[in-house]
Amino acid sequence: MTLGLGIDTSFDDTAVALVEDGNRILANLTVSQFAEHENFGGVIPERASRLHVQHLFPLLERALARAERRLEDLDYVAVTNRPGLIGSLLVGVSAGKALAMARGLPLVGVNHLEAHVYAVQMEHEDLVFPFVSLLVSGANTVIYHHRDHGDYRVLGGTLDDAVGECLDKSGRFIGLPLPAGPHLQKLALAGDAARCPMPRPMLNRPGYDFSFSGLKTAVVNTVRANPDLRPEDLAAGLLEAASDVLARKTFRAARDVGVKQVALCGGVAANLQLREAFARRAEKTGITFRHPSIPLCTDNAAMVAGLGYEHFRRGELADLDLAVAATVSWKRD
Amino acid sequence: MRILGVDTSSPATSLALLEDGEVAAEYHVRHDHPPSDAVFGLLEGLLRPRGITVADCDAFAVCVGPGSFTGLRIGLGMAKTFAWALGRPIHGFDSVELLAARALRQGAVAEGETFDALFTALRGSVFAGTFEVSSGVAVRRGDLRYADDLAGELAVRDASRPLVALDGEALPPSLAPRRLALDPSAAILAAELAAGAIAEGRPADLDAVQPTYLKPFSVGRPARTRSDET
Repeated sequence: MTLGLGIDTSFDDTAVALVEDGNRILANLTVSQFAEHENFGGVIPERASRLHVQHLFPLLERALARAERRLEDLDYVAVTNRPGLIGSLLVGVSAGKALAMARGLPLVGVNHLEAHVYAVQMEHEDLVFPFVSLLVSGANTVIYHHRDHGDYRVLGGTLDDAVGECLDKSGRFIGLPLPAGPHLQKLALAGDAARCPMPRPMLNRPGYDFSFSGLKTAVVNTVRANPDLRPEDLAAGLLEAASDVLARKTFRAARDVGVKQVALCGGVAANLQLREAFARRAEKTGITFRHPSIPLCTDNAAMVAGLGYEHFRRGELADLDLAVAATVSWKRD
Repeated sequence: MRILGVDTSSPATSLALLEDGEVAAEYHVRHDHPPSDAVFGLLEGLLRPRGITVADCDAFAVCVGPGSFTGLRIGLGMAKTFAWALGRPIHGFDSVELLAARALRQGAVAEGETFDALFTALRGSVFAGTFEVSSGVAVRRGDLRYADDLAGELAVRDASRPLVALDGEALPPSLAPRRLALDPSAAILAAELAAGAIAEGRPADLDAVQPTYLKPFSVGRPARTRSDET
């Protein structure tokens, strides 16, 4: 049995998890800073870093208590070192390095985006390489082709806004609290998309790239032109359009590269309408589709400890020079 | 008793290993400043040749600023994690307190004397404090002070008190500052203060060791506040 500690402080959530053998989650705790940033309409990097410092130790204590394990039981420490806010990442990485140094433990640096994909594999052993994934969050919208752990190529991605940003900004425009996804989802369930047809940006272009800034603008224009439009119908129209483009392009990519499985991950993967759109495409194409449970969709450290396990058993260890990086480079086919 | 001292609050990063009151190993940057997160490798380089690891340290001492926000988070995060992971005590000391300890150690202030310690940070902001030398210890009198500029500090300070400042600190000659050398490093001073605290039996509280943010945090006007909503 191998016990790993995962730490993620890449953005605005402080997350700590204990995971056994890469997929048995003993504790998966997250402190959201959301309320602390809410009044500012976005995350303030300096404030996020300060809050990570405050939250990290109590969270480490709680995670060990929840898992009923001690530091002595750990076999490795996995920490997100890229991509994210530099100041935020540094808090987690410094703690990870110091913990590894103090307890003589192997240290593993984890790519946050790869970890989101691994989250699907943690819960679905039948998701095997090769497969295609769509990672959707507030910061990312990207289609990957995975051949093995760490061996993947980008097939396409957003040219401007991430889909999560489009949803957040649209929601904020109609007065919804952030993050807007869950609120839009709830409204959409009571709405009728047919009453608010929205554009499908770049749907018929070749390739697998996306554009969501135009959809955001379309929301603003639609609301201004139709003051009587029900928010429920707008939400339904917006989510249907976004989900439709995401699902069609992902399954087209899967068909083109010849894989039989598709994974949906990232915070926006928690969205019901998107999951339904994926389920419909899966049924139509015969390509199977897997997604994580909601706690593993949003930012979490279980996925970090999980992917850390794969690195650990392959001997892919970091040293004390492990650097943080705000961005990661894509390998395109 | 082996105490590890850490200061990453300024580019003059320092690490020190104090063994039974003697400096056994030291790292002190004076010129070629490494990035803040190089401190882990530097520490390893300090300990390994001596055949010891962090786990062989009995206590930790750290400068909690004010100073570089990022530097503090790295150094303080490192030292706190050591203390937490090993269940050993940690003591934090602020930058002005360490300056006062430096003045005392260098003989710039005498027993019974009340003095001000001051340093200039980014964009001319000033951090200062008043101390009194009592039984061989620089005891703080009043709060750690912050001012946007030197004039702000001079407006509140009692001009009759002697002033201590580091060599190279740009101050008008009229203040007649008593100049302090850059050695010993802040890490050594912190470790020495921690040794004193431990000898006194002062409790060490991990949660109390937090970065010192004195400068008001500002990002402009909030875009939207709760009270805007009905």
